[in-house]
Amino acid sequence: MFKDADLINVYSDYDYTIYVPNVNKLEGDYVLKPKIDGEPYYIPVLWRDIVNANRISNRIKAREIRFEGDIEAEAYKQLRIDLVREKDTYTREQIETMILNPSDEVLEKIVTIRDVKTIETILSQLIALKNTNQFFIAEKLEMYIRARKEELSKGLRISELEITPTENIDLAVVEDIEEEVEVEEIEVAPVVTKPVVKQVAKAKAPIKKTTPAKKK
Amino acid sequence: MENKIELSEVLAQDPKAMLNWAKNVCQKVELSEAEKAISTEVNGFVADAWKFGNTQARESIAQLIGKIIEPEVFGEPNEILSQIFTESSYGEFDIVKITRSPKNTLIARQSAPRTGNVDKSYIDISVGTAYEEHLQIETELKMSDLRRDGAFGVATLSLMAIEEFNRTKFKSMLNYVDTLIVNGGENYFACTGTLTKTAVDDFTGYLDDNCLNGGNPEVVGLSNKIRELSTAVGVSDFYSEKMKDELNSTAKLQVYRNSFLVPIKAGAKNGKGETLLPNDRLFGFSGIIGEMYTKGEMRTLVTNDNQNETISLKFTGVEFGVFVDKIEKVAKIVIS
Repeated sequence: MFKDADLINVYSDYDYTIYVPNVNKLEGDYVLKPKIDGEPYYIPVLWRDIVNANRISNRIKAREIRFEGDIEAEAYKQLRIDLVREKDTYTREQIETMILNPSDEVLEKIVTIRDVKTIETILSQLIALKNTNQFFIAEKLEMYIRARKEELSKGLRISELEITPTENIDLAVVEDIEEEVEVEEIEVAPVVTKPVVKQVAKAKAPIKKTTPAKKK
Repeated sequence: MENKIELSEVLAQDPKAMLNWAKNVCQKVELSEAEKAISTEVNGFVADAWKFGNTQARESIAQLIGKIIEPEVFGEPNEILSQIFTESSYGEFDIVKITRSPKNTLIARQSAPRTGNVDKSYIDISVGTAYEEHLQIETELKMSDLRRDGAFGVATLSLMAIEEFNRTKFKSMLNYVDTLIVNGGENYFACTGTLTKTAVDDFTGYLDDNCLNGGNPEVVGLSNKIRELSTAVGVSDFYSEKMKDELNSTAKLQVYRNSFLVPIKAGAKNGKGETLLPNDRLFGFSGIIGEMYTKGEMRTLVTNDNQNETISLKFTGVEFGVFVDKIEKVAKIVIS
C-alpha cells in the first residue's frame, strides 16, 4: 500500500521525454527522460502525483509511463488498472512483437482498436523500426494501420475494414515436408513396428518422390 | 441606363472587384455606384436563368462565381500558411520534382601536420516526395432560391465555397505535417494530461533554437489549447504585471518566449463539422519549412436541369501540393 508522500521510481518506456505535472505547481513538474540504450532512466515521483496523472491522462494505462519492475503489479492494483480488461493498450514490447511478427491475428487486433492514441503509437513505432533499416516490415500491416487510423480520425469506431487472409505458405510444400519427416522417423524406429508403419506411410504418399540423398 | 456596365471591364481594372462586391453584398454594407451596377447586371443573368432556363445566363453565373473564387483560392494563401511555406504554381500536367537544398555534412578532421590523409565526407543530397491533393465541390442552386435572393444568393454561395476550400486546404496541409513527425524525435514533446511549464518552455525553446534566420517562430493550435498554454506556465509566479493584464483582457498571450501564439478558432469547422486541427496537439514552426504550390486552374461547370428547376454547379481543378524539406523546423506537443 503506497502513501501519498511515498516516492515511486517510474520511467518513460519510449524514446521521448514525458512531462508529468506536479500537484504543487511551485515545485515544478517531473521530466521522464527517454531510455538510454534500452536502460530505463528512473525518476522518483510522489505517489499523489502518479494518482493525479492517472486521473487526467491515459499514459499510465497505455503503459508509456512504467514503474520499476517489482512494484509494478502492486501499483496497477492500487490505481485500479485491470490489465486483463484493458484490451486497447499494448506495451512497447508487445507492439514491437506485433510489428515484427505480423499475422492475420495481429491484423484483427489492429482493426479492433478503438483508441486513436494506440494506433498512433503503433504507427510511429513501425516507422521507427523501419527507419533503423534492420528489419523487414510488412507493407500489408502498415496499410491496415494507416487505414484504421484514418477511420478513427473520421470517428468510425467499429471498423469496416475486411481482412483478406494471407496465404503465405504453399500447402503442397508443407505436406511434402511432413511426409519426409515421417519417413525419416520410421527409419529410426524399432525393428518390430518398422514394416507395418512403413506400409502406412507408403499408402499415405503413393506418388511422393524422395530424393536419393535423403534415403541414404 | 447609365448604370449599365461591362463586367469584363471592371475585372480588367481590379481583379478583386468581384470579391469585394460579394463580401459587401453578404455583409449588407452600402454599395458603391459601381457595385450597384454589378448587382443589377447579376440580377439580370439570374432572372434570365430562372425565368427562361437561359443557357447563356447560367454560363454567365458560372463565370461570375469562378471569377470570385479563383483569385482567392489560387492567389493568396492563408496567413499562417504563407508564413511557413514558400509559394509557387505549376501547370496542370507538370510533374513536380523536389530539389532540396543540400545539407552540409562535411566534416573537418584533424590530421598530422603538412602530410597525411583523412576520411572523406560527403554532402547529403536526399530526395523527398510531395503530397498532392485535388479538391472539388459539387452543389445545387434551386431556381426558387434564385427567384427570392437574386444576386445575394450567388454572392453567398461563392463566399461559402471559398471558405470551405481554404479550410480544407489548411486542414489537409497541417494533417500532412502532423504525420511527418513521429514520436521519438527530439521535436516531439509528450505531456501527461495537461500542459506544464517545463514542457512549454522546452517546446518554445526548441523552436527558438531552430529559428536560424532570425524572426519569430509560430505556435499554432486550437484556440482552447492556446489559452491553456497561456496559463500553463503559472500565472501568479512567473508573469509580469503586463502579461497578467493581457491575460485578463484577452484570455491569451500574443507572444511567449519569442514565439507568436496563433490560435485557430475551435468553432471554425469544415463542412463535415470537424475542427481544423486535432484537439490534443500544438504545432510549432520556426520559419519556412517547405514549399506549397498550386497546379493548373480552377474550373466551374454548370448543368441546367429545367425538369427539377435546379442548376448544378461543380467547382473543380483546385489542385495543390506541399512538400516539407526542413522537418527539424517543426515541433509538436501532444497531450494525452
